[in-house]
Amino acid sequence: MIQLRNGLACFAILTALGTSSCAAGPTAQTAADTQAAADTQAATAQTAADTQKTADTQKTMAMASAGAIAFNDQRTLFVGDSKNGVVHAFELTNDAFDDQSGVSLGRAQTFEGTSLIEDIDLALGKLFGMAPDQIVINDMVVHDATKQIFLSAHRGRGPDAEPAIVKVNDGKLEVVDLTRAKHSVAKIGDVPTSQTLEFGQLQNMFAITDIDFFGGEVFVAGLSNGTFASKLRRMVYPFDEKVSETSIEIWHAVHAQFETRAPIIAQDIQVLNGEPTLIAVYACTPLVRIPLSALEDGAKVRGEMIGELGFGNTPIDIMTYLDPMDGNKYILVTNTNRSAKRVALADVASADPMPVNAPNDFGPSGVNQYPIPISDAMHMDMVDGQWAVLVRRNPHDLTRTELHTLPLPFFFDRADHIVEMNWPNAPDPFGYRQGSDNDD
Amino acid sequence: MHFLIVAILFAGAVTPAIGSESPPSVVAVYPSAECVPANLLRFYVSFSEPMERGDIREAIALLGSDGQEIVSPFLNLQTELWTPDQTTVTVLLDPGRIKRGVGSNLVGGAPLTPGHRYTLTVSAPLKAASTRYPVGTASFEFCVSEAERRPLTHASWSVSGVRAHSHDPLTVKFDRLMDYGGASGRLAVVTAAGEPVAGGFKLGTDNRSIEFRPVDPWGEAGHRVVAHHSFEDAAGNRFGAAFDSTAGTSSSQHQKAVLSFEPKVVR
Repeated sequence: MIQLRNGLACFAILTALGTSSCAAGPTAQTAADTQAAADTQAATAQTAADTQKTADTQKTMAMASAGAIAFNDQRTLFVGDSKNGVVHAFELTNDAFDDQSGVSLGRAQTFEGTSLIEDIDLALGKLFGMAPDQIVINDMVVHDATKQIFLSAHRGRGPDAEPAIVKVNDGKLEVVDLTRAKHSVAKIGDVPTSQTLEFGQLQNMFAITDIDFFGGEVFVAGLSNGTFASKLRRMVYPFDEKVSETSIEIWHAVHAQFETRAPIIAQDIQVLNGEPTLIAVYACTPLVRIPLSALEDGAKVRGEMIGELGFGNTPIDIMTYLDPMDGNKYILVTNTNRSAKRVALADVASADPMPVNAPNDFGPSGVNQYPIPISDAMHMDMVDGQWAVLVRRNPHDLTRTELHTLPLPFFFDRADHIVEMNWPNAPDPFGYRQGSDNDD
Repeated sequence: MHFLIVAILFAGAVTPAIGSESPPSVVAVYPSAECVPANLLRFYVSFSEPMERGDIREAIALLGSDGQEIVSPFLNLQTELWTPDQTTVTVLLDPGRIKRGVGSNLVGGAPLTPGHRYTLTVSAPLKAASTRYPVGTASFEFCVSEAERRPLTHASWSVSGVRAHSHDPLTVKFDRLMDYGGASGRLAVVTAAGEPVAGGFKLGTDNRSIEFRPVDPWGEAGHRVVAHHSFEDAAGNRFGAAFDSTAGTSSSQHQKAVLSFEPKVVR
């Protein structure tokens, strides 16, 4: 692309960009090499993704981008690096964490969250010495044991943006030193090669949308620019030589058809009726239940669509929590164009699949859903049994971005409203004040 | 019919803030055809230099022939699908509006209507990554043909003749507009024994054909053109599976295409 651009008119550039010539071999050379021995009579054209199905435990690959992040059950942070088409695993040292259990998160008995960092974009800009509009927060996760909040961020918006992992220590931002962590890498997507770069071919890129850790394995969902498809990668950690890739087929009620072509945007894994189960939300927003046992390499799995969250909307995050008021577990899905939705985990487990070969259903429909008044939540995760944390637009000033806590069960946040139950001797219709032991 | 760009209007010139560097510009929009199917799945927009992430949703708009903006024609993704060098971005039209009978399709209608003309506009706040100059406003007018809802089938493709011992380019002609991005890396030419033939593919400027030029002269034995099952046309249709299939049908078939051809022997 670069070598062909100078001095050429638009027509020539069009031609150049459509060119994938190479001196050393055909466009599908790498793929053909991979497959030729095993399949000389049939197709040998392959996508680059198909050639990248082996994990790589090399330590040398630097992080080129930092997107979706997740912790395992100990100290390992997984970082989705779409630019390199890999997932990094950083086994952080103990001293990388600061116990945050003593940090005040607000007053739960009055539904009062607090802003841990009022202008987190300004704070990140100050930390990195950059204008705040050059800082991008890509994801957020809370380390379960220490309750410490970690963020993945980019310094800059261009192709040379530098990735960083940042932690929140009692309201202050600190860069996490990854150089001291034990580092390993698993390839999961299309990785640019010098050949494709040199000849201006459009690269197929796998943008990682979510990462989850469950039972010793990492599950990676994503979206490709070249193929609009639903593929889930699954790999054991510590990484070995294998990455499983499964195509998931669902009955999409609003499309009235079986669907393999919609990408998973957010996912969570929970044990339902004794069986580990992937709960996934798609781009236009079916809620799907798939037993992990079905996700085998190369398999095509028919997931059960149990709910439709409503059209014209894209999910952002999904997380699970235990409601301290009713003792039930729920999933919460935050959305771009609709309020957040709460679904009882018991309902996820027991809901009948939505009817197949039935008339269109535009939703919201299927499994019982309850709207939760959360909007402008860019990232959300649970801190502990009482609190969640959000990166969100300040509801009073949408130009500001804050790191804010929200008390369960997410009915409202006194910090956002005037709430009479906060008045002395005011009624407590939910009995929440008596039920809370977090009276600070 | 060469390519999509009927008009490029650089309007609202931006005054550079630093030195004499110029604002970034749009250099190409794909598919490169005068008319696109009504169920087009993707646009690709290429820029003169690396751009900043984060502003695509505000920067790209689709206008009807009356100049009115089409409401929410694109898939509302948080993730922007840039190439690693951030010179080309993939913009997905909302499949929910493309697929017949989907709620947003019924409420909002398909983004594109056959027989109508549209204009894709690209403008600020999208900026160059290095200078942060806003992109020069660009407009791309195109017409819309009937939706393409047939699965891909290689039965309607044709392969040009080549001569043994020559470097003749091999041209595969398709029966429809193919996906610009999807054409990369999904075709191969192999020998009868399945060995890959060294060479390079070049998508035709009308996106309806692709040309293969071998590095070495063609041999006399038969060859095959092989297309991967994920090969797509501009509407996302694959072999054996239309993107917008009718109710109750599966869209999960993994078929590949194999076209055999034999070089004509030159003595």
